[in-house]
Amino acid sequence: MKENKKKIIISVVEVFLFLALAAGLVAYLVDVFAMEDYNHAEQVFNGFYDQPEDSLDGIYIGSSASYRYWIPTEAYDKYGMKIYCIGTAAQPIVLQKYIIKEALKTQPDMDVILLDIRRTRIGGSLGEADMRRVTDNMEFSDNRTEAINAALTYYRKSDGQISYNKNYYYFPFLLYHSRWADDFTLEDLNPADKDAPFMGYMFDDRGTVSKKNIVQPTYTTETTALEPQKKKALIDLLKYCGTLKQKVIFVSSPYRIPKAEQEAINESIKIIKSYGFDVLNYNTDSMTKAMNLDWSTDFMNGRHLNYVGASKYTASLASYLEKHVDFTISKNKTSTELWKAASKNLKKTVRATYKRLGKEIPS
Amino acid sequence: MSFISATFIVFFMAVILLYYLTPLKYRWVLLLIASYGFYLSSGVKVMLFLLFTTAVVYGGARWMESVRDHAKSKKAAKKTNKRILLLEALVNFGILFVLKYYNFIADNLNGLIGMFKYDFSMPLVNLILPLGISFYTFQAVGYSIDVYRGKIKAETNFLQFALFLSFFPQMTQGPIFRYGDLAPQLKEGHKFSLTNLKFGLELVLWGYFKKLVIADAASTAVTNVFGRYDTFDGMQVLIGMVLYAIQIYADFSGGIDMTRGIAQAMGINLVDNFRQPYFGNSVAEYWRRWHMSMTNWMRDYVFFPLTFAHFSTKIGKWGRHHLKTIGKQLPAYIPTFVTFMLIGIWHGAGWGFIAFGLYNSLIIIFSMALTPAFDKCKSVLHIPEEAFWWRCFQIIRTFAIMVYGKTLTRAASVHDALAMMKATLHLDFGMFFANMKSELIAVGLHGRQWVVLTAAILIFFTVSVFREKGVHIREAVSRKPLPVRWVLILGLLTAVLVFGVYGEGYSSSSFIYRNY
Amino acid sequence: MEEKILAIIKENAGDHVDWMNEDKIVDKELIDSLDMVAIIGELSDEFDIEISADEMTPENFNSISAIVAMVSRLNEEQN
Repeated sequence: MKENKKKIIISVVEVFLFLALAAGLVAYLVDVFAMEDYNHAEQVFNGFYDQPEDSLDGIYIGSSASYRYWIPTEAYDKYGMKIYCIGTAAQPIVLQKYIIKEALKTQPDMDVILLDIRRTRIGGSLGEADMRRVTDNMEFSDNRTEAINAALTYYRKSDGQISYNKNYYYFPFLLYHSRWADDFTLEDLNPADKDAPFMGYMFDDRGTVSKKNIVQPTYTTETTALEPQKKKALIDLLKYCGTLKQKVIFVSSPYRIPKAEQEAINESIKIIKSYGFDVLNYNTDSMTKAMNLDWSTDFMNGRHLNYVGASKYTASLASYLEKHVDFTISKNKTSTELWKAASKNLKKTVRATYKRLGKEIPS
Repeated sequence: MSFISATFIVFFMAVILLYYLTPLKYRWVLLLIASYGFYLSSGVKVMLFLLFTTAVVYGGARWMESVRDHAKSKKAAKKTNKRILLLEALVNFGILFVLKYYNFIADNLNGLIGMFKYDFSMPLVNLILPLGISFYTFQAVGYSIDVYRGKIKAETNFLQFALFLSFFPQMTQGPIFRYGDLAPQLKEGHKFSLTNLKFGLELVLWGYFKKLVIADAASTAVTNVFGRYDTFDGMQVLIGMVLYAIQIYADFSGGIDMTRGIAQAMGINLVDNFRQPYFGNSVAEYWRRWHMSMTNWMRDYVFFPLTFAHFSTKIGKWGRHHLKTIGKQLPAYIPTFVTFMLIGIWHGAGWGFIAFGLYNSLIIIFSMALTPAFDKCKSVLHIPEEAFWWRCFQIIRTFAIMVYGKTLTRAASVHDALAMMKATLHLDFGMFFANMKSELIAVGLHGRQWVVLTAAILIFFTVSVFREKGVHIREAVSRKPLPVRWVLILGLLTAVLVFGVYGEGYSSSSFIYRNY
Repeated sequence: MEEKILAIIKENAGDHVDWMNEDKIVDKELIDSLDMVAIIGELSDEFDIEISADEMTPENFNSISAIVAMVSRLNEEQN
């Protein structure tokens, strides 16, 4: 009898061990085959999820109009404010509500939410990758499911040329496993579970240290109608933001803005203000002068600032926030390890990169 | 519910779990509910066909038995029962025939009528084809014939009989079972056995490997070549044809493996349907190894009855007296011809299938007729039957014959098939090997896909060789040390998850994303 | 009956074997399949019985006496 019982227990243990191993294997495979997006979006979300609960003062979300502009650690260095940048390339407006909801899960008491509005302009990318940069990297949850459903509806109504099979968004592996035949390399076998090194700001060799002489655009106050789906998404977002206790500030970061895009963004600003929110529009003469923007040295290309420009922008915006937002979280000066490390890391990287490329290190 | 859908995986896992949670006595009831549930997922209307056949065959069998019990003489009973059997067979085959072949016949008749410039045409109807109708009809008629022959007693429990005709693992691709083999296993509740569960699930995994990593991967190339054969050279067409032979074998046997694996997980042992058919040394031998349940059915219910029929023996007698050796074979020719024509059209309604049936029957008949001549040649040339190289030659020869035969069933038309076969007569090896990379990519798969497909086929081939030698793979694996076992199984799982062709195709170039 | 059966065998499979004293007809493959088909056909005709594929076993055909036993049995079952 005892022999039998022993055998059964061994069998059960064996089965459980095997299942655990299999589950681990599947989790590893899912990680290994995740979308190859130069890892930025994945790292941004990883870094955000690693922030201790109730440790952030705020978040800044948007497209590259956010993560090429806002340097969280420099705002932290100067004022002690911890505002993480959850920016992803061509971030769809329809998903921003869900990013906020996601952030509120762990940072319910944060004080400020910054939203870049460059994506409200007419046109722009409407790709599957734009959506996936967000939904693939959100943790499994009802919020993620709702985000996917909302995004698919938005895309369908906007005639987006993407796959509408929900399962491929709920379980990206169903699509990505096919990468083995395409762009999978041996390096992928070591899934990078890294956090974004600079709290969401993107600093890389390619553009951040270069500079281009950009012609300053002529500003206008004219408006034009928004694309219907974008308008709908924006209004939905505004209604949601109206329910929040956080201070929500909309931002339009500076670039060589074409007239048509200006008109659309002006329209968005009008709508946003009508809902009672503040908008910081850097695409005006006064604002660019106020931040001391130099069109010959501060840009890497017509649409993005380089590191020097981003520093200026951060200083300007942070100073505004310091005056207009009541920061309650960071006053405690707790949970600073990650931020101190990131700040150090950025300074080191900046110095090393400029040196390596033989350029003068900015002050 | 497709075998390779996530829904199906969840479904059969749930059924296996529920099977063992159900009390022993009622486990067959669970199977019945699961089977009809599965069938319902393909529509209520088609379920009515299954129910109709079930009722007709159940009733017919009981009727035959009561006739036998109450008849005055055995001869009279036999006569009546023959009529009942014929009626049953007519009704069931009639339904199958109409649903499957009406459009094909109407289409061709219209063509014929058109030639005579009549203004009449038969309408082409959109007929539904109930899931598994080719399989359950044959299974049902086989049962009726067995009852007629007195081999088995008629089933008195209607629900248990319904389970016999609807057992869900076999509704998609068969196999076709005999009542005596399957019914007792379905009725009896099986106790839980970890070995059965393990072996069963391993077999299911192996089936997925064959279907997803081999068959579905090969199908891209096959569709490409068969669809635009005139744009490819001889070597490429040949590769497409060979890949099709592999694809259909991997797909079919993979599906059967899933069927048997699911059944085994519940303690039900279903007989295998394939015995390494491409290792057969003759076409006749091939058919004794391919889709054995169907060919055995044909043998027992078509071939043998025809062979022993009166006209057959009469022809045999005449043949013996007038034509010596070939004469002896004559009685086998017509049954062979009929049997293989039936096998051909059983596969589908189309000239390709008819051609396929003709092709096989003629080859077998001719090889029968030429056997004495061949034997003489072999003895003159001193070819040893048992020699390894001779066996290899026979295997390759048979494989080649079947590759060409199967082309008839896959090509868009018989004309296309013949054109493809003609193309393979011009093989430019030099050019092919000089440009092998571009030649292979043109067929439809990239470099990596060829590597994985080839490796998978080699694995399949190796396993087949072991099986041909009599090795029971899963048992052999279970005797290996634990780490080896787990590496093999998890490796297989990884291969299916990563290399399996499921989900949408991914192409990095169409997945454009910019970095800001 | 035995006489008739022997005659049928001799006619189809030849005279070279001592059929009466042979008890491993099937095991030794003394009758090839085509001859077997012919023999079964004639047996069915001669004795008005139906010999199904199931009956084609060594037990039934290994010796003349076995064949006799089978034929008698089938005759009783079917007539």
